[in-house]
Amino acid sequence: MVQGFWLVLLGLFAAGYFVLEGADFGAGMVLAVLGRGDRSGRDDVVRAIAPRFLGNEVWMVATIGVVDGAFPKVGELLLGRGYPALIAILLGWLVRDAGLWFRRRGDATWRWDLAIGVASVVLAGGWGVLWGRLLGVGITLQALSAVALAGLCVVHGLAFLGRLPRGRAATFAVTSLVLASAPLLVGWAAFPAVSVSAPTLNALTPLVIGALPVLAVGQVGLWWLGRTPMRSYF
Amino acid sequence: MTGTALGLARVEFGITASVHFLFAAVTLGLLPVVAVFQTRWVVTGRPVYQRLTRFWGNIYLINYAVGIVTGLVMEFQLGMNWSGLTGFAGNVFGAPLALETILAFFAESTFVGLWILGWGRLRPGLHLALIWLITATAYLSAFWVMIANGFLQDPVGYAIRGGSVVLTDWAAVLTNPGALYGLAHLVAGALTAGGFVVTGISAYHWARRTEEREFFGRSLFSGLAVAAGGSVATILLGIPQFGYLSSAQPTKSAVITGKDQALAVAQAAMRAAHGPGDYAPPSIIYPLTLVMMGLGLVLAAVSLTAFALRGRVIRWRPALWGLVGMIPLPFVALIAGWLVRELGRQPWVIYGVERTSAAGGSATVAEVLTSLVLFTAIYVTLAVVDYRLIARAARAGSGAALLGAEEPVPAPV
Repeated sequence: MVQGFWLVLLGLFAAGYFVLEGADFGAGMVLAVLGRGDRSGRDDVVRAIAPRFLGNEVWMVATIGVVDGAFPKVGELLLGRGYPALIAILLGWLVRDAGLWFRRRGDATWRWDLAIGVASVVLAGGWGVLWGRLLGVGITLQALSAVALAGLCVVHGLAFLGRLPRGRAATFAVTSLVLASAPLLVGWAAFPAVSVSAPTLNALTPLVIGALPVLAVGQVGLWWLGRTPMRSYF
Repeated sequence: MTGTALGLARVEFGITASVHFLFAAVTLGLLPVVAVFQTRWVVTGRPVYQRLTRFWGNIYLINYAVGIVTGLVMEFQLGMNWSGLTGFAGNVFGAPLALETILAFFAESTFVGLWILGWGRLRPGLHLALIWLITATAYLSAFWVMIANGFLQDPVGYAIRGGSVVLTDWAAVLTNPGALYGLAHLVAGALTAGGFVVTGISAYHWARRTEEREFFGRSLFSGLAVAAGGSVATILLGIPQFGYLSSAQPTKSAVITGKDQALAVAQAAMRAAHGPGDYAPPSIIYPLTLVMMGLGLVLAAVSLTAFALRGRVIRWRPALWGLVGMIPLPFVALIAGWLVRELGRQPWVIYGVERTSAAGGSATVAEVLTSLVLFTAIYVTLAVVDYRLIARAARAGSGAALLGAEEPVPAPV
């Protein structure tokens, strides 16, 4: 019962991460293309995802927290099979965030925008490779998985930005569904549902249940406020 | 993990933790200052407090950028290189880290996004509540990290069953003196660092004969008050640790107090309990302790004197430039103190329970070396860029911050 709650939490955070950050990856990848030679065009794209990316990327932080706290065996498998991919993902993540934070703090905006684009490709592609490695497929299929996920994120991001000629809402619904279910299927296929011992879960559960409403209010608030892009910070 | 891979993993953890620690300390030190300025703004409605909130809030955010991205890597790193530790002690050690990610990191990042987005859009009281929520979650983050670290220093509330640790007493883990002594001392040290940053930047503007006299005058006095209070508290909260360590970590205690006799006794006790071997932590923690304590005394003396004589200090340029030059010192003290805490626990990863040599994961030398080189390069680059951006924002003064700007500020392309 308690373990079921933690499995749901793990799935929720992981699926939520790919739906929410998938749009940020896509927007990051198309940033340089949509706003080529046009600083204010790039600003518009960034404003659509910042500062909401702050509330999106932490879904993976929480996923890793659930793994550390409740499913350490999952962590061992993740790292045993995914070490090089995870290094690439983390490096991409560092550079992407630094780009978003710093692009307006100095006078080298276009350089940071280029970095955001490259890092977003590494991030989306890196997760694709990691999924392939977790499923134990060969290098060709890993590469294919990377290209597929990156392409999916581009479509998802364009739909999110409203830059598709038509069928925006329907496309976004489909890409969201795929981005939510794919990591769940990969996890279901690759990971054993072996949790930590009961006393640890019993200690963690009430604190997390108590915090969930606060987190939900914060996340909803961030999305509600983010409907109107902010003026100028990012 | 081979000895070489383990050594590299330790270096990698030391570097990434130290860089993260520098930025996390500024976050802890600056947030209460920003929150108090914003409270005064909401309560009094005076524009100077709005500008103070914007200026220091902007510097906090530039610093937070590297704090958060280095924090992200920290969450992964324990699993990446230290699965020997997490596999053995995950039932206790993983719990506070899990709560840190969900209750603190997740919440803090969401609230920071809301605080930035909500500027000028949310009701003032609600926007003010957000900065206090950010402050609370940042401190909660430090609490959970120190609870996890405290278990490594002074393992409590556990039993070993079937070759791994199980949780037996959650309350004992949450009230572990090995965590709480360190947390109190560290929070006071972070406030000292934040206070000296605010003081130094404000002193710079007074030394340059700023026209924003009220703005940087209030900043300077606030910074000095935080630095003085923080540095005295750091010393007072550090002293009891000596008595505590002499019973909880006798080998560390003997080395940092320079007592060879006590070290011999502590080593003999360790050998009797755990078999032959060298149980002395590296001797460098003795000079590091002296550096930390010496700097602590200097920081307290300077901030107390400057606070007492603040009316005169603010008009005397050599003193102002002196305060600018003080900015790095609390950070040196913080890193020295952290190294004493962590190196002093060696050769144990969990003091008296698991050796560091058993804590490694399955990563190869090539894998660890690759990640060590890449992460160090990118961390150092980000730290340098961030430092320069903070310095730039600090020099630009109160009008330049984009945070909460009324109109889009034209920026160079």
